[in-house]
Amino acid sequence: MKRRIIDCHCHLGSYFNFYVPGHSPEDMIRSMDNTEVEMACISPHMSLTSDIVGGNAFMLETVQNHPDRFIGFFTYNPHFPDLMKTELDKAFKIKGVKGIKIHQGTHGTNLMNPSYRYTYDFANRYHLPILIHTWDIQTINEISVLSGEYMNATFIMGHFGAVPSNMIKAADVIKSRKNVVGDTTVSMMYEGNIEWLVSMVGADKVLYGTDMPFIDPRVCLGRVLASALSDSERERLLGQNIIRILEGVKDYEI
Amino acid sequence: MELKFFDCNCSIGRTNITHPGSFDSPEVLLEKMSEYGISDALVYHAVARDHFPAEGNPLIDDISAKYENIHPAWVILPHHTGEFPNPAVLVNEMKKHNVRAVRIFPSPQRHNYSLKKYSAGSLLDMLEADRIPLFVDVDEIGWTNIDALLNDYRNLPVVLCNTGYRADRYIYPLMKTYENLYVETSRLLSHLGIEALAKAVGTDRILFGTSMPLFTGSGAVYYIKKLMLPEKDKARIASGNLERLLSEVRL
Repeated sequence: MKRRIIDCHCHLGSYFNFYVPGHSPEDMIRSMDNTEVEMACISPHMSLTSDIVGGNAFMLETVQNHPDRFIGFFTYNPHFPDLMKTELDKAFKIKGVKGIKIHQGTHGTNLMNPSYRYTYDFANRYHLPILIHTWDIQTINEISVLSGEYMNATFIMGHFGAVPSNMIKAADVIKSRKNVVGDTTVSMMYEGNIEWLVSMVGADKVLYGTDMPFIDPRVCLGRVLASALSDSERERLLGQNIIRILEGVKDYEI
Repeated sequence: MELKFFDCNCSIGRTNITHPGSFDSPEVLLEKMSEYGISDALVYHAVARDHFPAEGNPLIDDISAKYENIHPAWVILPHHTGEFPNPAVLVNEMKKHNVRAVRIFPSPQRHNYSLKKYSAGSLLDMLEADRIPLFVDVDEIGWTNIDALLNDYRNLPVVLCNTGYRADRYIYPLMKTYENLYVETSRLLSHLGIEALAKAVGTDRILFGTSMPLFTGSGAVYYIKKLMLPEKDKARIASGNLERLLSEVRL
């Protein structure tokens, strides 16, 4: 069976804080071809840092131009609740949009912001994955609460808590909730980290993610490919887990 | 042709904080190097970084004497307090122990000293005279100090390690300005960034490193193997540039 690699945590476009040499959809496809990555889930940097409408429009355009390479994750900014309702509706009419992205950090809030409730309800109704920037204990605790309320949505802890002490706490929540998983996206790629995460939560609960093009994906992929996992565990981590989650997404009712 | 990998950014020895999956013994380091296809490594001792250079450096000497593919790098200090040899004595000691590279940790959180001439001048003069490559983490020196160091010691090869993925707006102008600046790859992680940097300044000053045992060795190797560059450029990065630097040392 051919290996399938799907990157569950990618962005798109240039960035204010540093130079991103390969930031276009075409750059990302070149990178994916080089490492045999089939598809990438994307939420553009612009939607995290500035223009939420422009950023989501870039995601939609990219998904429509390259439907076999990119899966759209709609970024929800809780500061624009009315706008988000119409934008969500517009986005999910496009077939390749399959998830929600929340970056409460760049949006200056936390997951308990009441404005997020609309998107949690939406994700719950359509069994969507919600990719959440998970960098601290507060976020991990909030996901623990919310995942119990919205049982049909899948909460992806992006970055898995970021540092080992938080990863232990994130693993406790992932183990206790059927609908919570974590991803491999970190800039501090510790030796032996992949095996350790899998040993804590099992290979079905870890997704392959890299932050491309925020960070070059090759170091992360290399550490997964060379990790001391069984072939079956590696295949699940690299692609089968996110495929299973995306196959569970319900069609949007237009 | 199989690439030869020579890791320029590696340490060994027990630390007071460990991460799951990490290791501290030279034997495990050698196992990991073999598993990942790394033939040689330039290694300093964690005790020299976290405790005291004069006590840690002999530990890496012992290890490198035992294992031929572990090459020692010493952590050094200015000598003024009398706790570390003066540059003339130091250079003789390095020669005696075949140490051809050094590392500094001058930040307030680590060894806490100034790199200005009144403090580190004679030490840096000695390194420059003998073309001994100086390895330093970005977080240890800061961008303002790196500019001053490169400007004041134009013949001193300085290898900037653990740069992070947000550093290109500093690295590009510094590398274009100073021929004596080199960068290490383990955390040089902007997307397609090594290819872009190679286009801007060439591949002669990019050096393969892992940051083991803290960071992933396998990922660091795969990164270089999968660079979209000609094989001769990958070979320079993987080992050729470091071998050239070490061969140019005048000890």
